[in-house]
Amino acid sequence: MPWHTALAVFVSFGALYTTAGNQVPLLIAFAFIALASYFVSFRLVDRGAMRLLPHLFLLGLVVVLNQEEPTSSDALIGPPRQRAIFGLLYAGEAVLQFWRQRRDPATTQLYALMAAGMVFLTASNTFEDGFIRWWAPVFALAASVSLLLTRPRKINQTALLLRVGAILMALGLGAASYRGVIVYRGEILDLGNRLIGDRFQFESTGMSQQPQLGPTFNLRGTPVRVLRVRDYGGIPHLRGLSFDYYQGGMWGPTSRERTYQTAQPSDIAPVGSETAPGSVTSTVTRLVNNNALVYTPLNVAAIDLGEAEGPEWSPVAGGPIRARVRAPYEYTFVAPANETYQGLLATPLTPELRTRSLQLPQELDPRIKELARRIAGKAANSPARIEAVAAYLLENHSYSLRFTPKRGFNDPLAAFLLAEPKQGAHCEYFASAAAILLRCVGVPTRYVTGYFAHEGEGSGVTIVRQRDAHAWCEAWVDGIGWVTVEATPADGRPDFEPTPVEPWRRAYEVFQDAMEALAAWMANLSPAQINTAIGTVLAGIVVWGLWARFIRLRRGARFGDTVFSYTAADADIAALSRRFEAAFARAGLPFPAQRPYEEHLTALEATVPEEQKPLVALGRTFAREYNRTRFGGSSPDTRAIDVLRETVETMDELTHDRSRR
Amino acid sequence: MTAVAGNTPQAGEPSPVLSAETFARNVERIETNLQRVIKGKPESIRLLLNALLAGGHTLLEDVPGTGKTTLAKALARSIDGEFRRIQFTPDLLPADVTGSSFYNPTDGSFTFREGPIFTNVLLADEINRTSPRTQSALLEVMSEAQATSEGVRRDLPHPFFVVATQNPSDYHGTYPLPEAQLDRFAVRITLGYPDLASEVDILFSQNDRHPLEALEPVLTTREVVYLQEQVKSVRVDRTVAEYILLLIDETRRDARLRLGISPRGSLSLYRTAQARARMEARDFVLPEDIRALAVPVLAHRLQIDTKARYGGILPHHIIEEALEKTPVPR
Repeated sequence: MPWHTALAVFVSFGALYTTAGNQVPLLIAFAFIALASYFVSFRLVDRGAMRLLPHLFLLGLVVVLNQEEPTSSDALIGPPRQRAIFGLLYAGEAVLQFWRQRRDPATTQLYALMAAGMVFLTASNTFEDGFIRWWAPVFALAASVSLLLTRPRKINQTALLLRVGAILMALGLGAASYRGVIVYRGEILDLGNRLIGDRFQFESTGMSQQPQLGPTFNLRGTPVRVLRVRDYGGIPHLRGLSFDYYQGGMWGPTSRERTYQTAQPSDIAPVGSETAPGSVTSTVTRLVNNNALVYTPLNVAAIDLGEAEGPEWSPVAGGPIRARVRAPYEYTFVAPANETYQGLLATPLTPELRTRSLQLPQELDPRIKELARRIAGKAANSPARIEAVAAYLLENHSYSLRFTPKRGFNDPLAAFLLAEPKQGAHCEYFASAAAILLRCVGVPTRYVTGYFAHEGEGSGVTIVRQRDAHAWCEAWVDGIGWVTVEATPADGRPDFEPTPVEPWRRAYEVFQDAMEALAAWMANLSPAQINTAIGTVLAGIVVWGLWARFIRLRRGARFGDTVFSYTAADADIAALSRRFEAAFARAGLPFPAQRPYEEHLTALEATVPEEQKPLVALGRTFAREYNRTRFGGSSPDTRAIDVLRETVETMDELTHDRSRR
Repeated sequence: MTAVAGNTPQAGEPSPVLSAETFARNVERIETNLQRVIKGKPESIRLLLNALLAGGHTLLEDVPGTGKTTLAKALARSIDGEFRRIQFTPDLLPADVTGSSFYNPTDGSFTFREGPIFTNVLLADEINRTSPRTQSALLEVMSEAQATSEGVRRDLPHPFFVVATQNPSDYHGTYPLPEAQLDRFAVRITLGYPDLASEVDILFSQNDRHPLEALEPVLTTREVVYLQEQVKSVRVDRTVAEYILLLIDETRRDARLRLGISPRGSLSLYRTAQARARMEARDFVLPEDIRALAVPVLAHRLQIDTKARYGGILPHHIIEEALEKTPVPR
């Protein structure tokens, strides 16, 4: 693809990436594919298996990179985001197809430009987006340059019409696709959600709305980064959702059953809360989009939700707090050093809440109650009971990502607790077991899901990945309040020893961070700075264009679509020839690029005035010797170079005298 | 007058390399010889010899009566070679060109009687007067110097040189040469009317008898083959070859042409440039050689688009434009 078309396509995909952002990170790959197709002349073979390879590569890329969204699948090929995959596959096809050299590359270029125009218009869905200020003029310039430089083979009306048609079609389709994608976005999302199924009701959270004890971990995910936490050193459990109703292996209530109210700043950042002893303000950046929950530790004193519009929370249930903001979303919270500080999430235990937190399912296996009494019945107070239950679970069960409930029990939890020999299971089972056992001995407990923050990135930053999703419980201790209860064996906490992240993912994360920093920097520029920058870029492009057109092409020529330049002569000879040409230029007889020396000299001999004939004669001597050396084959000998140099020096003297006169 | 001094290759001996000057001198001798017959056309004669030494064939295209046939005959006589002539008529058959088998009733066998192409210099007169079927009989003959007749491949003698003539202004009863055929001619030469002094010379020189009859050979065919071998050893720098290709690519990309120049065309240009360098006593090719030969070698191979043709564009315009556009290696 010629550079101008590649640039236009690159800009359009880049613009789409910055506006769609983390939703479809794959877009940036297309931008770079377009750019790469300028540097790498790669011709797709039109036969057989070779044709499939780019498709397979693209499919693999889409699948792998789509794991960016924390899906709840435990297989690598999980349900992808419908709205992205097919469109991108074919957009990728289009980009790759334009690598093929067609008979008339001009037509192909025009189609590429049309596609780029569509993409760009879709990207600029709202011209208030700051980045469009950057992208729009660059794209307009690249597109115009490309249209001007695209020369079809047939110079006729059809080419002109095609160009005009391309522009009109780009505008029309772009506007239409804006309507289609942006306005009907809700419907498209709904369709996707319905197709995925109720089990994984994402809506706007990345966590299961209704955790269900099953053979595999509900929340297991990929090493995708979910949160970045700065300056936090408290308990590693960052809670998101809490559940207190257990029935038949499922925790509730669901999101629909909760009541939300607007989270006023006065509610979530009560006055005076920041002054709790040892308070540290931490900043959390939420890096994904399909997760609207605000994650904080249990003992949080105050939360500042930043630029969230219409955040809501459910104070009665101790959260969750929801803020629907596009990634990256930053919020801060204040957490004191005291781990048992009762903050805004530690809902006071009303009688109603107590009942709910002690609720046991009707059909609970009585053996579980017996087991609970055996473990903790003798304990005097709640802390002791908690400790006993936790110790029992830690000692008697191991961690395993797979758990197959044995037959004969009415509940997977019963199967876990009662089956002999004791099986291993994942954290959801341990948390559920702890909660139920504690409820059996009269400790109000609730089941909590969230993330376990343990992976430090250096200088006080902790990275939380989807695979750090965790479940634990919170128990009420009279006199203290709600406390975190961790009952999963240490080596069972997901990635207690973090498996190293693959290098390509690391590289991609570095790239993502760089893009974020760039976006933040760009958002903070003043209009004057932006205008200066745009002006410089445009000026640079114009200068480069002029240089390419006039200066570079004078020396070279075009062979097919590439600029061509001759194999250079030996360095000494080349320098002497330049001096020779300069001498004649000084004398007012410059050599045209398409005439060889001797031919031009013959023409000059006939037309030049008398006084310049000696110069021409000298020129002929030079040309003859030069030709023999340049085209005669052997490397130039010193005698030849001497002759040439002498001749040039004489010419220099002659012409300098002349110019002085 | 006949032998190249001391340098005739003997059978089995490797040919010694001819110095550039000796080569040029020999060529001059043929030239002088030909100029006795064709007056006032030194460039055309040089071009013809250029084609001969490059091992290519010539198309002489001109109005009637300018000496095309005479030139061909004179050339044949100068190199002491066999000369045959085919007068193309609309009823000529391919077998009349290549030869055919005759049934011999006495011993019941077939004997092949060679056609007129088995010769050194073949004059294909008025080649555009015969049907394309017969024209195509010459295709294989010209490009590969062999004739396949009834499945048997027969080689033609060395050197084999075709001089074809055609009359460009005749439109009645003529068949224009197809592209494939045109491509097999190395150069196209137009003679044109002679200037005043030359034409006066012509009138007086043919007073008693035609000067053609007094022509003596100056080279033998073996020497001509030898000279052709020498041409191949001329050095062509890579940049000069790139220059050839740039010119040719320019024609291939031109929107006014239905068909650009083929690789056979670039090869012809390459070879004729080598021959021209030798004729000027050089053993390397210069871009000037390419520029001088571009029009005669390339113009007849171009097929101009109808619209451009009605716009008045001629092939040599296109070549000249390409020459103006393409920078020269220096």
